[in-house]
Amino acid sequence: MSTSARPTRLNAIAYISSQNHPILVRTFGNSGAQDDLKYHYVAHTSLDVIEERVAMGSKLGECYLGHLYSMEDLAVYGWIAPSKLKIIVALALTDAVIKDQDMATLFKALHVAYHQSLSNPFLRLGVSPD
Amino acid sequence: MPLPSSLTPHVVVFATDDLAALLKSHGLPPIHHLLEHFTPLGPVITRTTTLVPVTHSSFSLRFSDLTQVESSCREDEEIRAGRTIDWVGGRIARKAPGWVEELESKKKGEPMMGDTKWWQELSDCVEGDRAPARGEGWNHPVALILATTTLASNPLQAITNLHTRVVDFPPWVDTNILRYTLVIHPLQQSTLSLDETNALMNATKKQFGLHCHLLTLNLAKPDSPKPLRPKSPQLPPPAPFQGSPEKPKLNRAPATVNGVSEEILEVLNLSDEDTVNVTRFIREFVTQSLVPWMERQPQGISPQRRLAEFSTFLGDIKLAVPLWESIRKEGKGGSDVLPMLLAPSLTLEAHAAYALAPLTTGSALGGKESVRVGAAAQLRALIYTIRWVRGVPDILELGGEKWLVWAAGTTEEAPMALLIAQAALMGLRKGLRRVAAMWYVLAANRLEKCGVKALTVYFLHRAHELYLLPHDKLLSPSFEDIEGKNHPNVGFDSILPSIEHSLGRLKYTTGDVAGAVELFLGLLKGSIFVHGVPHDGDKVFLDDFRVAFQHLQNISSDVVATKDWKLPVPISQAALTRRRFAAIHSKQGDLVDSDQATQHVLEELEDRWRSFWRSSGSGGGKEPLEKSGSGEVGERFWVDIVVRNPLDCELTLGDVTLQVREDGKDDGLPDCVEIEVVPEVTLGPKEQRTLSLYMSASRPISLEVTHLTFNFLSLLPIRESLGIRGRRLNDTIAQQRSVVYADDVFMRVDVKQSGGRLKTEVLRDKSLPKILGTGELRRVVIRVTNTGTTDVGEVWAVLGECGAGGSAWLDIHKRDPDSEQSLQEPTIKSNNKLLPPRPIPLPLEKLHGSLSVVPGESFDIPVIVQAHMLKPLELAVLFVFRQ
Repeated sequence: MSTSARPTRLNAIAYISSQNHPILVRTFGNSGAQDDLKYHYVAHTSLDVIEERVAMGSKLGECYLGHLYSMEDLAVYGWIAPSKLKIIVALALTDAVIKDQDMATLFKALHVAYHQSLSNPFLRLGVSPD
Repeated sequence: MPLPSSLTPHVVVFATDDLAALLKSHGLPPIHHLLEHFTPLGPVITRTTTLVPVTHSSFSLRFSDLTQVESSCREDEEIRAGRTIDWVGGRIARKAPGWVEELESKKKGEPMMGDTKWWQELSDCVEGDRAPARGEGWNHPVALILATTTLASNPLQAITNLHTRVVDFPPWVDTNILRYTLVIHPLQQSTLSLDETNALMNATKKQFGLHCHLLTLNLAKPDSPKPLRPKSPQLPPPAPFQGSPEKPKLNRAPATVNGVSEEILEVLNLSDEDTVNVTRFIREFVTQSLVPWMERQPQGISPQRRLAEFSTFLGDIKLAVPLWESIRKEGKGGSDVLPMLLAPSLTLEAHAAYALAPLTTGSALGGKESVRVGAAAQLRALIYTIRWVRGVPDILELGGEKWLVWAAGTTEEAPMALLIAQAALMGLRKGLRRVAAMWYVLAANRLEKCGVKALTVYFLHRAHELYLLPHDKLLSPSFEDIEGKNHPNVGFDSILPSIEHSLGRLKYTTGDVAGAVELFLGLLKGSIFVHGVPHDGDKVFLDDFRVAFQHLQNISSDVVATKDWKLPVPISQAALTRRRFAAIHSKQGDLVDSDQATQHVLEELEDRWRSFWRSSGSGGGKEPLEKSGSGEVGERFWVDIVVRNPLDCELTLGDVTLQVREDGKDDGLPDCVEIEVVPEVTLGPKEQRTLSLYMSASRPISLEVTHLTFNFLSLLPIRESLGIRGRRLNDTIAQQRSVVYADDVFMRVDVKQSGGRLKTEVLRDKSLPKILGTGELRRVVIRVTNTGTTDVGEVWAVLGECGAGGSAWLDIHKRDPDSEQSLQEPTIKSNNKLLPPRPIPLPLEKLHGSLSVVPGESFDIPVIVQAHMLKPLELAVLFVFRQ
């Protein structure tokens, strides 16, 4: 492992419904408008890879889909819940090793956060958090 | 799977001037091109180092001119690579419009099998490069054919001169090559006899070895010349240095070989006999000289790479693979070849990634973003990927389309963009539509920067089509029918506008202004909120539409006039359209809030009247209750249209007016109807507003309000229907099976001749206070005025029920309605029934002092109201009169 490895940075998270409709696409960091659109593309294309992985047949009950693909400076990971909700996480490509265990923990936390948000009757999804 | 052509033995040919002239005079291509026409050979058997025979169903060779290869070696590799990429990009840019036009004229997309024209062009250009490289030996010649004719005065001397010529290769080119002598004996032109030629060949074999051949040609014209296999595109020679007196040649100038210009030939002017002879020569050369020589090389070759290459040529995979593996472990390459030799497995992807990692920009393969790779590296990546596409079996199953995207990196050159486009096509063949669409967009963005507009537009169209294709639903299609909803294809709505906007701008710049206007118009449906994306997307779309439409108007007003333009999202809200008549509203210009609850109360009062009149009305109670909701001849009435701006920026509508038609007729606006035209309406971002447009008719008529017309941005005439979809039809079996609706329902306005009309108003000083005390009695006075033109003789009042909260009754039996004494001691009569109160005939003589009310006169009706409980109290009265 390189000692000069940059820390892993989370670039974007996307929630996609069971009907493949985007629920939320949220970017992090100082990304411009073009980058935000880029993550919409990333989330959209991830659906093809997820469908391919699901068709190949993952282990029963396994939600974590692992590394889906890399493009330019991104590594994209996927998670599919039993309700067919999909969560896409885009990380900046670094030299650091990313453990599957860590990613699975992250996805579980995101899944729980999603359900907690759904339970909130005052949630307004279209409003900017700013 | 056969190896790509760039991984086949490369043979250089040096011909004497007399041979070149002889071939040219008979309409034949140069000798190296002629020989290449006869490859690949049929089945050829080679032997491995363990003497195991390997049968090649097809054995390919590449032939090049020695002088051209020598000159290519003298050029700096980096400069040559840059020229190559520019040259390929130029060829693509020149030919792209023709390719796209051909696809569009045949109305078929890219082939699901086989190569596209641009991929073929790119592959031919890249694989056609025969210049030896330092890093690999595929283009290093394995054999040198020295060719001459028997036309020389001293053919043996000519052969000797050929062999003494020093091959001008740099030291890094492998000099271990087979030297072969080819003597062409033109039967009709040569003066040598058969014996003399045999003696010449014997002398040649004695002096220069057994690798020689006498090729006899009669050079007769064939009866039907066969098509000549086209030469692969070659990079033109570099321009001379600056300061040279020669002008730089254009790329399309014919190349020169041995000083003789090379014309483009399309047919082979070789007789059948000569064809057989040449074919025999090639087979002899390969099977008796080249292959045996290469088979002996493993014992004598020291560079491991050259040994690996020879093993690959000969099909000795068992030797080649370990050699390439050890070269790879030493970090000297090999990863680019192994995917073509190994059995399909996931390790091939690792080999491809390892081969491309030092050659691409960007960090997709772990490279450094700050380190830029040069043209030579980019060309190498291009070569590798083209070889893999042609040489790796089952590349689609291995996810090989990703390798092309890795190879393209972030370089913004046309060849790299075509790599991404090919990856998109490969993804599409696998069914990865979304990925393919994104790659088409990426390829289009890069091609736009290179100026290849035809292919940019084509790829954007493909991406657009793929995004619009519906994806498979997980639920049964019957689910939507049962729910009774029409589920639109909701998806990633922020992606399509960016594609359509880019496509629109490109169409505008390439001259398709009408197409650009249609696309920009389609974008005006209100931006989807994307966190972080600025909301001025609508303003940009609107401005682009305005500019494009104005330009279209200037260049072709016919197109503007004939096309029926429609906004993607209607501005008018047909379901919220209301009529308003002066007679039944309190003031001209006031809106009456007739919400659903009020409508329900009025309908209940009307029903009570009808049941009363049926049971006790004179003449059997057959007269219908005519509502007062109609217009009067000569009097204005209003139609309130709710308009909503779907955009996030200001919008101007010009000349807003209505279109009406007479009920039952399809003619235009009746002459007797006058409709207001509002010159300009400006709507703020996302603003919803009600526009009141007045109408009047000069004769009784029934009108249907069909459309709202306006000039969008004061430019584009728009006509929006104000019809509401009819009910779903369920009467026949066909209607039950499919979704069929009745015709649209339009708002109907009846204009009648002035007759009897009553106007009612609550007197301000005698109105109901806002708060009543429990049990308190209050008097409200309603003034009824005859605003019609005929006398009104009978009037009934139907009192609405106030419910448990209170009671109301007409105080019409007292002489002095203003007397407080009557209020303090009212006599309340009740029939003690739960039935709602019956309509009360108003005693006009008592209230008005006469039996009828003439036009212009009015009378007051006192109503006493009492509140019983702490709740809101509503008073409703329906007045029915008979003229």
